[in-house]
Amino acid sequence: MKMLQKTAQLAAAFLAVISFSACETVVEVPIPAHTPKLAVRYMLPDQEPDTLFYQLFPQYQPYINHSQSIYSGAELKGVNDAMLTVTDQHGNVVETFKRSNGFGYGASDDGYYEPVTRFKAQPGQKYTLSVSAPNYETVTGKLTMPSALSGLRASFQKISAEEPGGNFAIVQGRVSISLPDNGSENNYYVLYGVLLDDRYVANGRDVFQEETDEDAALVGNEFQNIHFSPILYGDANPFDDKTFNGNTVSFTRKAMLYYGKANTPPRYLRIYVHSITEDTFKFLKSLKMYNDNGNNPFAEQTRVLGNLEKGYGYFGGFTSTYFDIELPK
Amino acid sequence: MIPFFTRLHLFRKPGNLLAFACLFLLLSPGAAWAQQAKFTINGFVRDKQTGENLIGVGIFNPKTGQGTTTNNYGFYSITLPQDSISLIVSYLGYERLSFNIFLNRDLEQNFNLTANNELKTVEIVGTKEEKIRESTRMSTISVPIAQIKTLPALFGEVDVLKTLQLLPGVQSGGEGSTGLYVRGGSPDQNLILLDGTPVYNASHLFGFFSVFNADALNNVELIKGGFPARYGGRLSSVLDINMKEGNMKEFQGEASVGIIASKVTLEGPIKEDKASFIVSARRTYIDILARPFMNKENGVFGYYFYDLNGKVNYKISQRDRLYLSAYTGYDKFYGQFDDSELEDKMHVGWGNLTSALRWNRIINNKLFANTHLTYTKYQFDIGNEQTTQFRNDRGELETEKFSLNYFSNIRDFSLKTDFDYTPSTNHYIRFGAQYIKHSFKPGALQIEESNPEPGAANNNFFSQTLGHESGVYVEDDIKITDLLKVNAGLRLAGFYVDKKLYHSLEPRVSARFILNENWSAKASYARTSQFIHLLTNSGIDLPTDLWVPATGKVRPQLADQVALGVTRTLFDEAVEVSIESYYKAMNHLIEYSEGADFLGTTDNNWQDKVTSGEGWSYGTEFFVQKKLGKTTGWVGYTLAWANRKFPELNGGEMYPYKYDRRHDISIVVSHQLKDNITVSGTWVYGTGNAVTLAEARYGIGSYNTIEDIGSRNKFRMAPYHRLDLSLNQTKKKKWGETVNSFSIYNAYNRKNPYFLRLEEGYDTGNGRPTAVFKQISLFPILPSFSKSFKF
Repeated sequence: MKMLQKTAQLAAAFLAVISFSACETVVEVPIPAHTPKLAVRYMLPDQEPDTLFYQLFPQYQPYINHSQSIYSGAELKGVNDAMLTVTDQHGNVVETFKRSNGFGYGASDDGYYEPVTRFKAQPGQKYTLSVSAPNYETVTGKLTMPSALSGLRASFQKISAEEPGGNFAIVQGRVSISLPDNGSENNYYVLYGVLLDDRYVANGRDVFQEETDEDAALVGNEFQNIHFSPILYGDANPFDDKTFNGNTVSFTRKAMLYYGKANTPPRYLRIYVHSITEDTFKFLKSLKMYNDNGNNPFAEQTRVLGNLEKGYGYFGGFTSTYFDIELPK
Repeated sequence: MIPFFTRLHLFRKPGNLLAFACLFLLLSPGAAWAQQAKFTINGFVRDKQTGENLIGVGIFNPKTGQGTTTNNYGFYSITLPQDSISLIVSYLGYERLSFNIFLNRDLEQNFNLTANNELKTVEIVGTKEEKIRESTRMSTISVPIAQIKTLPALFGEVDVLKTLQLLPGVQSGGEGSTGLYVRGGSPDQNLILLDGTPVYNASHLFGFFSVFNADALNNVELIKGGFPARYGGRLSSVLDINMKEGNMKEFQGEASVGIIASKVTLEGPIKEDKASFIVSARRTYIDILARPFMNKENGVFGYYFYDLNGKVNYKISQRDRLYLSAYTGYDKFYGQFDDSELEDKMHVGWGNLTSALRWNRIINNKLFANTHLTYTKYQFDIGNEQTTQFRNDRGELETEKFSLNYFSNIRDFSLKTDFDYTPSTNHYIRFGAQYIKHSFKPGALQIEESNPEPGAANNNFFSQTLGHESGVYVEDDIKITDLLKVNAGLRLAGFYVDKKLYHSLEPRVSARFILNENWSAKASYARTSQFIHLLTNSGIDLPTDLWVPATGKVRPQLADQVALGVTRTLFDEAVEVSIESYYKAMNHLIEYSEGADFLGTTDNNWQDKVTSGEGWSYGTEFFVQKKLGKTTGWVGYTLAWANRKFPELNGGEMYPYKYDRRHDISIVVSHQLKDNITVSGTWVYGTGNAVTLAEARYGIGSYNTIEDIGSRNKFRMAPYHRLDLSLNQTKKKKWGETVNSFSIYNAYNRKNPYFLRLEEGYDTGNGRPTAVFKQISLFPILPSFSKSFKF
């Protein structure tokens, strides 16, 4: 990574030279007038979306914002007077929402919502999201909940433990995962690691993080599209089953466990595999690419792929499977 | 969708079709010549003063209208009935020569032509002296170097490719660019040959100059369509450039001093009329001139490029001749930053190396062979070297070094043999075969550290792919009747890579039909294939573009092009008019996927960064040229469309190609004010390039704002137009002559767009945040002067 960053810096310097003798002129590009639309981000879970759930997965919390012309530099504030409903395939309202604070670290409060009924969606069932707000067209999105994964296995091998200066202790190790893929369909996944205490509860502070592994001989190195996603910050790393469709894929990834020195060390590592819809995969993958390429002048432009009618963003859904690993003391 | 294999039953086996083609050529109407008593005259046509072979010289019998032209090595062969004949040897810019003989035996006859110092003009013909109305070839342009040297030039540096960009159907990429975009094709689809050797990147200074030093060149020919079967490997054009051979008679030189570059060319006999040489060198000195004005505390930057050309040739015998030629050129941008602890050097460089060994052999008076062994390499590299000095815990001075070099290259070894066979004046048959070994390193990373971190090591990361390309062809220029002439040919091309064999059977045909004394109609069809791709950034063209092969996953590019046209001459052939329409369909084109870039391409993962699609281009080209008189020049206009469709780009919808240019106009005028003063001017206009711009932005989370880029290439930059002027004054000296060249680039200071960028800020009136698009323009009005010396 360091090398690539260095290369990118060099390349950017090279580009700067091109405009060395250049002059700039403000030009009027006839961009068509833009009608503001709602921008939505919501992930429908198959588990109860309580406060702890959104603390663990803040990026899944319902969020409503809007769009504006590229010529407008006004701050894009979240929309607080939106009405959201989720209906099932029979047209029954199965979930409504109310305004809420943002559960993510550093999140602003504008535009966040939380479910009222804490509905648990069923795999294979169809759902529709509808979002409306004054002065905006109503936005709708549809999905079919993905089927559940079964037979997930995982293990953890500790490499070292250290207590550097500061408040955190670090355990370094490798996680090995065996993920059986259903070959009758195209599947899309997001992989997480969560540290739990002896009551199987996450405290929201301890962090599991994948690290770059220099050992090229590790199992599953050929599946370079498979990586853990960060829990609290950053964009998800979704992956598809194109390279292992219908087979059990086994891979090992290096990981660091960070926990407070003053607290009890985590007891369990829970490996979550979220089976997501194809639209969710496209949205998350393009969003990550968009954010990663922000400062790279050589990258092709990226279109963030949504699935909503008359609006921006996505209505996604996931079906969760997990495997708990007891951590060595 | 273009089918990869023809479905005609007869043609299922490529060998059958090739055999059929040979049979057709031999049984065609002109084959009747074989039954009459005829004799052959063959030889070379050369410049009397320099001994240089002349390409495309017309040799014809005015009594019968039968004739031929010299090939790329000045060789001709003409077979005529036993009779008293009077041959005319004619070449623009040279005095006509008449040769009378009673032909009753085979004869070897060389002709030496005397230059008449008249300005030669651009010829929109198959060969230079073959009349536009009579040639079967269409979409072909020959540009005399003398013409190029009279036209206005950026910074006084005359440029071959810039002259070609002034012709219909040929577009520049943008401000100052030497990239050629021929009939909606991309730059990688041009086969650029320097002495028969491919040149992969023909640009210097980020595309503002070409690598071809006009002083070292002899002939330039561009083919935009109706490709003869002897050319293969690219979809859109062939640019065939021949270097001078070197004066066989006497030593001579040419030098010039300009604002940013100087050059020198020396040539002469090694042994008179037996062997000669030519060497040429050019270097820019912006870096040297700017250095005294730089503040070293802010870092030192520099840029230069150089070209070196060399060629020797040796007549082994009357029938054999060897040519050895080489070219190398390199661009380097560098920077250095120093402080007390850190020395940081970086560079970006790119360049070509080509070399060719050719052997001409006259096998008999009707059969000429050329065997060609070539090597070519193109590489770009980005490097960084850091030296850090610090004191360790013991107070000792320590030095750490880190260097990183990223490069990408393509190398070719090629062996080719071509035969020219002229059994009669009704047939000109060419056939041959070629093998190319391609070696690709799309990306390689070299890292060295004096004190690597634990677990890390000095490393090289790269992958290499080998591709084996081959081709065989046969073509014949057949005079079927006095009115109808056809060039028919067939090429069979193959490419072996990743244990997969691709092959392509490519019929080529072009025909001319004389409608009346002034008008002729022409038509052509050509299928072409290309086994290599250029991965380019869709924003700005850069030397960092990657050359990659077709692979098991990425298929070869294919194209079918048809063209129809009419030509006529006016005012006793002083003016020529041509109108051509074309339609080109391209398949298996590749582009970077959305979000992808070249960085980090150190193995074959580039295949995962690309997506494949189709392209179409069509249009009509109008060309009016005045060739004779004190005022010469042309007006060209192209009305064209170029579109692309990729399932994974733009939501699968068709979109305009970046260089889709609806209107393209060029006006070129050159006027001889006095015997020693020529003034010239060019004006160009082109529809603005297509660009993708963000139309809106939206929030998708706290502090996460997304720009909505609309449809790909939906918007247009401002139109491009520019006027250039020049004046050339020649002064005779005892030792030779000098030429003073004054030129003004962009005479009315048009701010032409290079690219657009969005800048966010605050409205100075009301303090509200706002955003504007800013257009980056490169060159304002640029007067320049250069002085040339010929001795």
